[in-house]
Parts: sequence; structure tokens; C-alpha cells
Amino acid sequence: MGSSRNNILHATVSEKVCRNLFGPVDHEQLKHDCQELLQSFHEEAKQKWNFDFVNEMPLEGAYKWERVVAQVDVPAVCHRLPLLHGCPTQTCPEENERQNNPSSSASAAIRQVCGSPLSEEPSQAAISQGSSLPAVKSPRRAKRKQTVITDFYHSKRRNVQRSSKDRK
Amino acid sequence: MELLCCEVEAIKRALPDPNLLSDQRVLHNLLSIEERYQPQCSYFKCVQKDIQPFMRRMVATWMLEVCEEQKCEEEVFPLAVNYLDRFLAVVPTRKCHLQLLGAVCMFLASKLKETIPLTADKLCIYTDNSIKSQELLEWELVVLGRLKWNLAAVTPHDFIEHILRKLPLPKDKLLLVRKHSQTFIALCATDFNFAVYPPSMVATGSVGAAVCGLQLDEGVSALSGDRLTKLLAEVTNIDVDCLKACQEQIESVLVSSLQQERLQQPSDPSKASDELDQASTPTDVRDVDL
Repeated sequence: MGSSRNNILHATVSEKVCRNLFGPVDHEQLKHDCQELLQSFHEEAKQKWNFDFVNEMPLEGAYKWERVVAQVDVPAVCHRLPLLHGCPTQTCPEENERQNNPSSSASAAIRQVCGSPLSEEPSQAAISQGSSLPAVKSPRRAKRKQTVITDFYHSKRRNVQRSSKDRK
Repeated sequence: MELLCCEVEAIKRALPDPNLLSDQRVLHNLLSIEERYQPQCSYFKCVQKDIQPFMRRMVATWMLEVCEEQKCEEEVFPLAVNYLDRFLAVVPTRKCHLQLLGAVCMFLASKLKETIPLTADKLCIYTDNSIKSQELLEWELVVLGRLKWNLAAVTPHDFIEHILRKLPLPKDKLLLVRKHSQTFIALCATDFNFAVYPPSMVATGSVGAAVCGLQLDEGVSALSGDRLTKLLAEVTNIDVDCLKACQEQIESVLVSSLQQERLQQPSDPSKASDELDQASTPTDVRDVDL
């Protein structure tokens, strides 16, 4: 099926435009560079927000991170799923579990604010961490994966309060 | 029983909104924010080690060909080149990854501007399958991150309607002037020299070049030479001499691209017809020009 789809696609492109401009692509290097750049985004976000987005842990710094209880049940579709190479069947049970037990996941939710995309790898790591340590004492481990708009409002507000406190 | 295929590629477009086009504040806002979306430096000198100006031209030309063949909206190509330049201005990139980057930029620009965007699979085919769609998707994240998800960049296209409305153009020529201006804008996007100019300048210069090339001043004296330049400079608040220089530069890029094409024509006729779309309009412009 894949090949027939490819054939159809091929029919709509002319060969003279299909060309490799700069020789063979080093796929290993490409992957490496990609990971390195994504890693640097995490590092930047970590510095900026003093929050470790990979392990989802607050760090020391200008912002004070607080856990808040989610007021609403967040639909499963809003949870952060691995975007790439993601295996939905692996993540779904966990998502369902969270949905069925909103209070535990909600109480553990850490409001996070970050504009940068988190790559699939850290989120997978975070999930495996969460599932392998189901009874971890720190409830931070079992948190929601997806940033929602309301998260942003909360953190924003707290930042302002925090900075005004700092000024005093 | 007869089978009837009713599938139509119906692309829905919004009508031009007079409230947006006649409101001076819209133009002012565009002018005040356009700088934010320009590449910060001439990256060949300070950022890139592996990438040379001619490679940028190669990748941009290829991107234009893909956009033309796929009949992308006019803004897609300049927007994709804007992403490419902004990324290259901050991330040292390997030569062999440049085409992938170009594909990613088209992928993003197309998603932002089109009802039926280019697919990853299609773009991979255009790279002669030198990249995988998985890689395209991974790098999409990388590019988005580096552009800080700021995709709604101001491009020269955003100014075209605003400028055209201020000119006393004969109604029947409006379409042609718009088409030529768009062609000039695409031409400018293939040339790095224009990447450091504000989009409003490129737009104004392109409209100027289009109106001059079509010799519209025969009918309307306000569209002749210096008067036109002065009028245009007022619309987008540009220094008259800067505008003049920009317009001349655009015209000379056109001439050299036509010459280049002519050189390629005997040896590789298919190559030349690539750019026929792009060149078909200005060819007559040049005929009057020279």
C-alpha cells in the first residue's frame, strides 16, 4: 500500500525538480545534530525557567514552582504524547489510568510553562520513569504530560507575584 | 452505469478585506514589526563555515521550483526562505543538511499559509529521496525551536496590496502589475542580498520595477520615473535614494538571471523551462527595458 501511495505521489512531481543538491546525506550525523540541537533547547529552557523539563523537576532560581490541583479533567487528547515514533498503544493505558483517576494525577500536576517543544525522547523517558516508579514518594513523578493554556495563565500570574515580591 | 468523478481541488480563499487594506494602521503595524523577522546578520561571514552564498542560491532556486510545480500560494516561497535565513543566521549548518533544511522550511511555510499543505512524503521525493520523512519531522521541531515558533513572519507580499492601492493604476493593469511584483519578490528571495533588506523595501522596489517594466507611465504621468519613486517611497516611508538603489538592484538581478538562463538553454533546455514561469513575465519587461 505504501508503495502504491508513493507511485501516486511520484506521478504528481516532475523528475527535473526531484534532485539531490549536495550529495549524500549523512543520516547518522543528521540524527546526532538533531539531538544536540533539541538538547540545547532544553538547556536554554531550563536556564530560563529554572525548571528541568526533561525530568519535570523544579530547580533553584528566579521562579518559584508550585504544585496546583487541576480544577478540570483534562481530556486524554491534551496529554503530552510522544510526537515521533510514538507508539500509542504504549501510552494509552497510562493516559487512561490518569483519566480514570483524575485526582491523583491532578494533585500531582506541576504547572509548567514552556514555549519550546520537548522532543519525543525526553517525554518517552519521562513516561517510562513514571510507569517504572508508580509508587514514588515524590508525587511530582506522576504528573500530566501536556501543557494546557490554563497552565500558562497560572504560571504567568505567579511569576508576576513572585517578581513583585522580589522587588520588596 | 457511468462513473462520474466530482472531486475538485477547491481551494477556498478569503476575499480581500477592505477594512484591513484601507486602514492605515495595518500598514503601520506591518512596518513597525517587520524588522523582528529579518535574519540578524549576514551569516556567511559570522555563522556558517560550510555554507557558501552559491549554495543558498541553489537551495532557494530548488525551493522555488518545488513551490511553483506544486502551485503553492505565492507567499509560501518567500516565507520559507525567511525561515531558512533566520535559521542559518543562528545555527551553523552542514552543507549536506541544507536541502533538508530547505524542505523543512517549505513544509512549515506551506502549513501556515495553505489550505492543502505540502506533505512530508512529497517533499522527500523532491529531494530525490535523499532524506526520510521521519527526518523531516524531527527537523521540523528543531527549526520551530530555533525560530522560537515565530512563524507568522512579515514578507514583502504583505505590503503588495497596500502599495497597489495607493497607486493610480489603470484598473485593467492591476492584475498584471500584481503578478509581476510577485515574480520580482520571488526573484529577490533567491538572492541573499535582499534578505537583509526590510520586506517593505523589497515590496516597494518590486512594485516599482513592475510598473516601470510595463511602461505604464505612457498613460498616467504620475507613474513616470521619479514621480513614481517618490510616490512609492511615501507609501512605505522609505528614503527615495534607498528605494531607487533597491529597484535598480532588482532590475539587475532580473537581467542576470535571464542571461544565466539563456546560457543554460542550449545545453539543457529542460532546466531553462523550469524557470519559465518565473521568467515568462519579466521577459517582456526586459525587452522594453533594454
